[in-house]
Amino acid sequence: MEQKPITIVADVLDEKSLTELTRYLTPIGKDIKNNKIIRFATLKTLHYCCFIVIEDNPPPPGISRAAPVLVFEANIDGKVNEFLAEIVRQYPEFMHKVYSHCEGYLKEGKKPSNEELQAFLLANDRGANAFYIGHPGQTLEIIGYQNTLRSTLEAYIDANRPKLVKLAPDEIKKAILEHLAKTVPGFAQNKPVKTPALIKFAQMLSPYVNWVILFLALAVFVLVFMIAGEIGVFFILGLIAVFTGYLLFREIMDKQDERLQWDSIYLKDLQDVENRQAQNHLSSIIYVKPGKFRLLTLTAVLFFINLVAKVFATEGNLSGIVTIHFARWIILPGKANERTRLLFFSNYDGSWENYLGEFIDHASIGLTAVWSNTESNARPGGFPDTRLLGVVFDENKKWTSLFPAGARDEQRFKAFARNSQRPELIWYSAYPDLAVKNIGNNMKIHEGLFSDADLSGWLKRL
Amino acid sequence: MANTAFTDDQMRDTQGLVFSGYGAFPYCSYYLLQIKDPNKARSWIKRLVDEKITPGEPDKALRKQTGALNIALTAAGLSELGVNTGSFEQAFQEGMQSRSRATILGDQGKNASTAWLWGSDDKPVHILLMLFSVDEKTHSKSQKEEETAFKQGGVVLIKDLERFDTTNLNEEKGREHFGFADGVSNPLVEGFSSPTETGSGNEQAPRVIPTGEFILGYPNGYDGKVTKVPGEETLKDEEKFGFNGTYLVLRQLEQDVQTFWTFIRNEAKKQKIDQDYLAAKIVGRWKNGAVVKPDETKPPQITDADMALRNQFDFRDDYDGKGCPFGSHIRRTNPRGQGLGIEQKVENGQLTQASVETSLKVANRHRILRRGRSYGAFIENPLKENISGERGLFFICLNANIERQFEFIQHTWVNSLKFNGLYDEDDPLIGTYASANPGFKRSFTLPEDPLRRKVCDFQEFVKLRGGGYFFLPGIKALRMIGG
Ligand code: HEM
Repeated sequence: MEQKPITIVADVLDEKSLTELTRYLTPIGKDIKNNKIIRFATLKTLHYCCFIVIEDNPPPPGISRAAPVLVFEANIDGKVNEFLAEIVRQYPEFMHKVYSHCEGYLKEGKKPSNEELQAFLLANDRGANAFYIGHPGQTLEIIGYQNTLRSTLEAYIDANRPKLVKLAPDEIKKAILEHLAKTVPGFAQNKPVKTPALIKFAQMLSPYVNWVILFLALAVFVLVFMIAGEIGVFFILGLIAVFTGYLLFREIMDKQDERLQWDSIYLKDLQDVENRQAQNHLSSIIYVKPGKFRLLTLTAVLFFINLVAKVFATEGNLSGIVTIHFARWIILPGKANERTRLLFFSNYDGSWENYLGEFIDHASIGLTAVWSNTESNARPGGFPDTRLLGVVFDENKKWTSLFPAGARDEQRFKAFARNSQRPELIWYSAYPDLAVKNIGNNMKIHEGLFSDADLSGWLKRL
Repeated sequence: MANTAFTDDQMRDTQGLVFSGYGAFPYCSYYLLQIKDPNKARSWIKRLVDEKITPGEPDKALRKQTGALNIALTAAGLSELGVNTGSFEQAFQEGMQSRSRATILGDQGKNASTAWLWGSDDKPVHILLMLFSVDEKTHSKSQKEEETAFKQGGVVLIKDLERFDTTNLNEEKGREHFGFADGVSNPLVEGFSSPTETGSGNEQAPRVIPTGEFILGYPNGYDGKVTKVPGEETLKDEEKFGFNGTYLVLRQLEQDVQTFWTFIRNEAKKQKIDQDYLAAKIVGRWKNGAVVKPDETKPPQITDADMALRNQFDFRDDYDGKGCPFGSHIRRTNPRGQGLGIEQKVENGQLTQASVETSLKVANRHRILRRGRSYGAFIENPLKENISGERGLFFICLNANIERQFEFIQHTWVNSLKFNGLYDEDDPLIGTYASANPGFKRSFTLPEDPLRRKVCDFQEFVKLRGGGYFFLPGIKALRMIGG
């Protein structure tokens, strides 16, 4: 079953609603497990969710300030409308109360029915421009089952190790299988889900993504040549040259923030909610640089990232980042005279410092390509100096430092990221004790129980 | 912009502790001080800088033979003396005792700052004065001198705190209280003239850590960028106040030696394995300092001359942790070439060079220079004697970015239950996850053939008694404070 991103964005009515909404949601967020209003754990297809109110920064002169928005981010199994129906069915009071503070909630001046509320939510769902899933196909149910399987297995080994180590590897496995068949209900029927052949093929190719891209680009040229001849090829080459030239020009004109200061007014609130458990949530909002060009570039980059995430990064590893459960980017267009903004949400393992570090160490290219199109409002530009979206940069080749990849400027990038962050009011994780790597390992343990391949490798996973 | 070459002159503008743990000076005192009269304190510092302070000295022949003195200040201390701390690293400004840092460091429960002997908000420290001497006689003479000087210098020893004399545990080549060789591994740093002084290098690339990871003002581990040099004030040569300075982390960690060895004895008996084997797996090194290799059940014979060798390894031939377990102290505090890269390719029973290198690169962005010393009386036989008194480690480390180096190691590696794909265990030697999370049951996994061994339900062995984030300024910066 597929995992889906829900991003419901609704304008908050006014100052009063903003205060009331905050007052209503905060205590729930502080007591996510035991509060009397909503128990997210009863929603059996919900992995993670967050409620956050985002106020617009004072924008530059001449631009209107956007209304504060309430964003509901959810990562779910299955269909969006079914999930929305379920949350409204189980928690009508909560959902009505929350959205009564939002624009468009009332139906002809009256309180809407549950169905109408659901339709309202669906209409305001923006999904995601790019969505990354740590382990696609792993439903909440499967994750839970595989975790039980592993705990049972571990307890069995702990209790019987002296006896087991005297056996040959295949006998050890046999003993484990017998034990599981006896103790875990439905063990024989609950077979591991087969990875679709297409995804398997892509996984095989994933170390060679660069080559695949090169190949595809070549294929496009060949196709163009076949259809439109040399002229077509020259036309495309010309387009690329113009794009690159203009991009460079814009990048040279942009100014980075020289101060490296963490001066966000939200810093204290962020620190208060961070690192309370093994996982964290990151919400960031930032202005897209003005003009159509940057918006277009950003849209293209996100389209590309979405593709990579869907096709290649399907084993708990987004180009070397092994701590993300779910992440998404959403372009939020401004109304009338407002700025376009980029929203980013991530549900990840470990600390902020580690997360940002992994980003910079392993995925600086992708994230520079995204965020170099954005700027903070306080100081124009702000994002660390970047040339050609940072795609040329390679830390092993000295000459590429002529094309700085913004995010590799570690301190400046961290300051930029920190200052773009906002604290959420509610954040829920269905499995706060499981890291992405744990989920992956559990899955492999489960698979190994039903396959004879690489027995000694499998035993190491226990 | 800052000078980017670390020359001999720059070395002489940096305090000596950066380059050496002063192994030649076994006597040592740490004074934790509070400023009462900033004006007097400034003249006191001026005198220290003019007459006493030990800078780095590239020429061995010119180094002092009898002792050393270095000084570091907390954010509160700098403010008292009129230095603007607004541009220093966030973690330093907040201080180790602050709530946000405590959350990251896991300093909760019995390790919470409210229970500290010093360094909490109501027992703040301003200055750390470190005094080292070659012998007892010299030491007591310097102690008297310095104590008289700071008393007249508007500075007081903190209430409830006596100065500490660290014991010389040197008899067996620097063992810490649990009985293991200490001070074996420290990073090789670019531009340091005698890198082998405190440990030695690692053959595998990248061998050398950029200067900027440990001294402010020089290229750091991110493609030679320069970590922000803090300070609003400018020194001579137009450098910022923080130039040639670094951050110093101090933690007084009490070690419960008897509990540690009692647990080891009982558990070894229960599992029918050797005590020293189990203890070595927990540290990741044998008592003599050699790293535990796959299939070893006894420590290898090594001589002093092999000391350097004990550090020239990565985990390419131990990628499944069957020698040095993933969860062991040294593998957590410096994972070297394994577990942090994108690919983990194995060829001929070893990780490939490429896998090792990406991991090394990442690991090397989280290194610290350890400069601590043990305190309290050493116990030869922890299982027999009736033990009294407190003992432990004055953990001191130096780094240019507290959050990315020291805090990262403590949070993401030492106290993380998920380190290297593990599920549910923290650093068995020094982890404090259980005191921060009551009800948590500690465990430790030893990968073995054909099935992992596990040790469960044991206590914590280390307790935090006090701590602070300090700044170890360059000599010119100290001179500026002195006025
Ligand atoms: C009482 C507490 C501690 C004890 C008894 C202890 C003991 C040891 C021992 C025996 C070694 C191996 C020998 C050596 O390389 O020097 C070691 C290495 C090390 N320890 Fe600790 N340690 C303690 C606290 C800490 C803390 C708090 C940290 C940092 C958060 C830390 C970081 C390191 C590092 C980075 C190494 C070197 C790893 C390597 O490069 O191989 N230690 N420690």
